[in-house]
Amino acid sequence: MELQHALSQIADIRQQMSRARQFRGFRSATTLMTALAAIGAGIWQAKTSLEPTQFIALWVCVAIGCIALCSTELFLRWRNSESEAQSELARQAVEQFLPFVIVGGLITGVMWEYAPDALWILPALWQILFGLGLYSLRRIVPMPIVIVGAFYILCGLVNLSASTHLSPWSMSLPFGVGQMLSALILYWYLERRHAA
Amino acid sequence: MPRDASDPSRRSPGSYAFDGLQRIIHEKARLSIVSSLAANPEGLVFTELRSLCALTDGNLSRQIQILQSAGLVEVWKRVHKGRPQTLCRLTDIGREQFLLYVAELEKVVASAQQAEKSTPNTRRPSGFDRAIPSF
Repeated sequence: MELQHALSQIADIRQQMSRARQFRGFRSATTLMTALAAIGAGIWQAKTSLEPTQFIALWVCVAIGCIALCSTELFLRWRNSESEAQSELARQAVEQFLPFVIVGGLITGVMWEYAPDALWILPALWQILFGLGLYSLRRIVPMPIVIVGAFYILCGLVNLSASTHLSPWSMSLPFGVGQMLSALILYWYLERRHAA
Repeated sequence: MPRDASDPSRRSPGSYAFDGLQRIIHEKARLSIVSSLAANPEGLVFTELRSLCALTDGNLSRQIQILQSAGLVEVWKRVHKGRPQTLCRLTDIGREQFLLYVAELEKVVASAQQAEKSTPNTRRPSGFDRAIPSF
């Protein structure tokens, strides 16, 4: 009985220490909006026939919109935050995730300019980079986000192996489902407890 | 015969006892406060601590007062971004006592594990080793 109690206390301490070091700047509502943007873009795209360059341009616009939305929220939370610990975690989150965004942007620019025939590969690369970006945040966000990261990487690999053309769902489904899962995890692990 | 829990040599495997200051940490709400502060050596704002530990203002104030009068926690006020704030952090004694408390819990687990190994006829439940976390 005392052993069980000791084990449960150790587990409680670990969980509490991990919660106390979690970044609470990413919110489920904003993440859900990015999921809806991805699904909306997919539906619109399915009804329209787009050239590969138009396909990429559409998704670059969606990505810029989503990044702007999340960055604005992060900035406002940072500005209004009372906690220095959370401000420091916000800085860490940006530092860890930004390289993946920059590399994704650079790859897109280079391929757009020098390898337009291989643009079909971009959705897979974006998904793999996004998955790695989420994995890099694992120490400061709820651990199950790693599962979403793995989901993105898997989707990227499937896209890489399965298609040589740009299907509307090759972007919409992975990002729609992935962001919805992220929103659910953020709500469940960060917001639900705070609301209680 | 009642067990003398304060004498480690007389304790049965898997049992534990906390002395003085550690007994103060042992209470659930206070353990949650101390664990949160241990993860943030620079300290936490009162409102953040309240939200992390899911406590009311009154309960948190009471528990912090107990920890503060035991010398485990220090509280100070400051103005941040033009707003007054109350901050808390573990003192050196508080951190030391927290580590001793965790060490005591780990000792319980280690001694139970030792007892389990020394009785080869006892069937060990599957996943026993994996269930023991380490810091």
